[in-house]
Amino acid sequence: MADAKKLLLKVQRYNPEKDNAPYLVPYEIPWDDQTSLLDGLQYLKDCVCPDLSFRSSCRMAICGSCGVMVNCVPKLACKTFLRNYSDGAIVEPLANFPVERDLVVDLTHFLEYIEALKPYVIGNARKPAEGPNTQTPTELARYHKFSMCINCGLCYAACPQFGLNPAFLGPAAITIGHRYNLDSRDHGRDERVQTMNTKTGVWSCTFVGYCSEVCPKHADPAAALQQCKVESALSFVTSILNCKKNKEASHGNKA
Amino acid sequence: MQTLNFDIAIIGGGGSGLRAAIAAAETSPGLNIALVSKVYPMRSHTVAAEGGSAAVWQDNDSLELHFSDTVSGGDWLCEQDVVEYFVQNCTREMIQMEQWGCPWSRNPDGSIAVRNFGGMKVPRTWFAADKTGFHMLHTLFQTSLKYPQIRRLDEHFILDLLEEDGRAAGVVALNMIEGELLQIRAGAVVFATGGAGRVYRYNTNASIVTGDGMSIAYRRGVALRDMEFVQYHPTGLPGSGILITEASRGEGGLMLNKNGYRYLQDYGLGPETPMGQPKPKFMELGPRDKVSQAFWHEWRAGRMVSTPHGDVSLLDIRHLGKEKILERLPFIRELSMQYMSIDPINDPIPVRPTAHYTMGGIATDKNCETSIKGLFAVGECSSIGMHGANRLGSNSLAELLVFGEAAGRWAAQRSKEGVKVSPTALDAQADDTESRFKTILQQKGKEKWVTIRNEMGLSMEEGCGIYRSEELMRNTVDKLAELQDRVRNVGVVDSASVFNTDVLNLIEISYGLNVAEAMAHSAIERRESRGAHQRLDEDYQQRDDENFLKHSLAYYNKDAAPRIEYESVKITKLQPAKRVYGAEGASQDNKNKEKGNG
Amino acid sequence: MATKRKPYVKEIDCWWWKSNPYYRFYMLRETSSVFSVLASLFLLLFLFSPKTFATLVQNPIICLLSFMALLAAVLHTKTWFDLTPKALNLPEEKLCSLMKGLWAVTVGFSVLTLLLSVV
Repeated sequence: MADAKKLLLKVQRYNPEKDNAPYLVPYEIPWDDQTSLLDGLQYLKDCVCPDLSFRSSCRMAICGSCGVMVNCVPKLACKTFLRNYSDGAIVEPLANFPVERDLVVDLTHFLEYIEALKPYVIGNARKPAEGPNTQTPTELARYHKFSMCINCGLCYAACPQFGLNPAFLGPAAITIGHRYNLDSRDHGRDERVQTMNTKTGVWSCTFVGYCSEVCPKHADPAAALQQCKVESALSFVTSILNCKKNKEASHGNKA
Repeated sequence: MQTLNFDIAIIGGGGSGLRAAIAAAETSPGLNIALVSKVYPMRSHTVAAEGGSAAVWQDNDSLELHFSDTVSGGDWLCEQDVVEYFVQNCTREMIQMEQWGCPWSRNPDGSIAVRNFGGMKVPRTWFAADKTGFHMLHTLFQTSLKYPQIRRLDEHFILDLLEEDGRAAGVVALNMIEGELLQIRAGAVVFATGGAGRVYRYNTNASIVTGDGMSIAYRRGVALRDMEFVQYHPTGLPGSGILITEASRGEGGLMLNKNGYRYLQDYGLGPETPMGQPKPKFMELGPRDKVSQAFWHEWRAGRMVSTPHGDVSLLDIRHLGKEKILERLPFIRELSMQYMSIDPINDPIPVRPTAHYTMGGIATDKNCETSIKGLFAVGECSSIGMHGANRLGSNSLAELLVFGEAAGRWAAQRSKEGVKVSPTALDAQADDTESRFKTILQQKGKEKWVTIRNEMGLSMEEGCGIYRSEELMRNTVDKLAELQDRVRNVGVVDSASVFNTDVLNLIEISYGLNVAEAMAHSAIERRESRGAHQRLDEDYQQRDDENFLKHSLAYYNKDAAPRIEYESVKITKLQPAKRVYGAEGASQDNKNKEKGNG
Repeated sequence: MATKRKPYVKEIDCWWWKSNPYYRFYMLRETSSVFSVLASLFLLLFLFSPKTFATLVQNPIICLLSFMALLAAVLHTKTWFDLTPKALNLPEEKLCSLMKGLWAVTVGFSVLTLLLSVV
């Protein structure tokens, strides 16, 4: 690889046991047309600095491990090609998450938020012996896009509202919850919206829209959030109307 | 060292681990379950499976057909009672997945759609476009969140098994983010740690597929069974090895050499079937071992396309049309465009065979339990005996579910029997593991793990590839022995506690070396050709049922070569016959039918 | 044993939006509402004192303000219509005709208003 083309990557390093704050270190990386950023990072780990820490697994943009910031844009390292950065790039850990080490961030809250929105089929007692539910391609299409989320966290790194308020459940978690709300086999909407239609839920979103822009799987979290807002607003209105009706009904009874 | 107590510890958060955890939680709601994984569960390699999962579904299909496809596909090295249990339970598991929310692809009337797959007589592969593994894994992961008794220990790397009187009693794991060791005690342990494809240089596997569980069980004296059978998937992308699903052939894709000729017809899979009309068990719908072997012959004959990333054949799906490609194979298109800059709507995809799957693994009985009582193994890390010498595509996702469920259930039962442990004895074992870990952490030396990894991968590819010979395997065996010595001299650069992947890479590579040795030694001892184990040596080019209708068992032998033993294969109803596809296969089927009628 | 972790959290300052064009556009969209508010307040003046309104409406600053408010309204219409398809979970072909309809109504209504004001 001596005569290979090379470019300069500035990679953020941080060892909590030694450093007070992260810093950038420039590295030369050999590359060709097929070299992904993940290949570049692996080259560094293999040949230059074995103590560089980053997450990776499938290297084919489906496991969601290798999210990083490339020139301040959240990207999957395995789906980012060095051919597009021949002038070099700055590689940092995903924004808006606490940095544990080098390019490794803490995803604990992210996982908790996914869990909080009960991402599983609720209220369908059908048993395997009764055969599968019927679901037409149209019914499938209603939620299919939102089931594409690979939990990579890029949308959280893209979301300034999550950056400013880490209690915000965030784009991916709400998208996954919404995916189940839209599934014709599910009856758990009422349980989910209690968490979803709150200040730290959909109403933290101000529709910056960048989450959908960076989503590597086109799951379109911004769309999920807008749909949730519409539903939340409608259910608010209906609850007021119902409340009035109930009041009238109870007055009527008294009379 | 912190100690946590559970009823069951499941190691691995992929399809089989999650399915086992859910089964245990459902059948025995009072049990506490630890789900220990070195990555977040949705990063597990199940996520990369594309094509689909097998289960008898159509009216023209039957359990018998799925059974005979699987057994003959495995070149009769399958435990037939296990296969029978498997085919009986696949459909229930697929429906269960549906009811948990898996977005299976549908027919216009809302019923489940199935597709063709290689070596399968009838379309029986359930699929979710070409991201079946992804959807299954996420469905299982999300469903597992329903059970508060499943406690996830994400990013915990397993270092050893705890044993008491020959019975599994837990594991020792490293909390990767803290850098602290943890003793996880449990009445039953389930290994669901996946395969070992990364011992090969070119492979379709995620970087985490390093044979961890196999190696730990092996070092603890459990046999690794049928390790010589490593599947080469015929269609991986050159350079990266990224998988291009068999479903692309199931939907009608063609395999071409550089002259645009469908070469599979010359290798026992013909005659040529008309374009756009794929016929089960003919041509492109042959089993993976045969298709990969055909590539090898064509490549030797110089009829493959040369590229900077090696010689390739061409997978042509253009005639399927844009609409079908976008509906059925969108991920394949995305991968080809991203990683090869080729749009399969307009151009054929360059592909080559790539190491893909370990048919063998930790030997278990039909209840998924190993020779260590209370230690279960399931999924690719295990060998329950269902795949034999060659796995059929779409049988492995089904295996994760069928046997994941069984393993969870049996482990729960075993755990309830209780295990008498002496805490001091377990503490001593855990302390011993800790001191070994600390020694590795401070290991000094001039070797680098990257060199060991690369030399191992290359050597496995040369010696234990699609075709093998005594000489090449001997070289590999010697190389692996050399690497076993050298790995002790690898210097660890990173001394940090928090997320130290330098030391973990070294440990993974040592795990891989164990598994590679078991593979190479099992291979060199099997003096015949069967399924994925094909020898070039003149005397061993045929299947030899007289001497080798047997499972190989590789036993760990400390600093010496593994000890290879054999055990018989359970044959219940399908007697060994010639394994044939294409026209010859069809005429064999007809003869059998006549016999059956007569 | 004490943890060796020391998670680093990057502070976000009030200029976080400056570095990214996507964020800058978002901020532009949000601040443009200021003009709409000012224009609305000015219109309210008409209710209380039509005479003052009539004099002030000739003022170049007010003209500029109104012009800015018009631009802001156009920007809002555009972004609002971009958002609409996201908020509606409809099939592609239905969305397409809906969007065309929305723009047609907007343009039609604007033209009508203009004509009326000229008359």
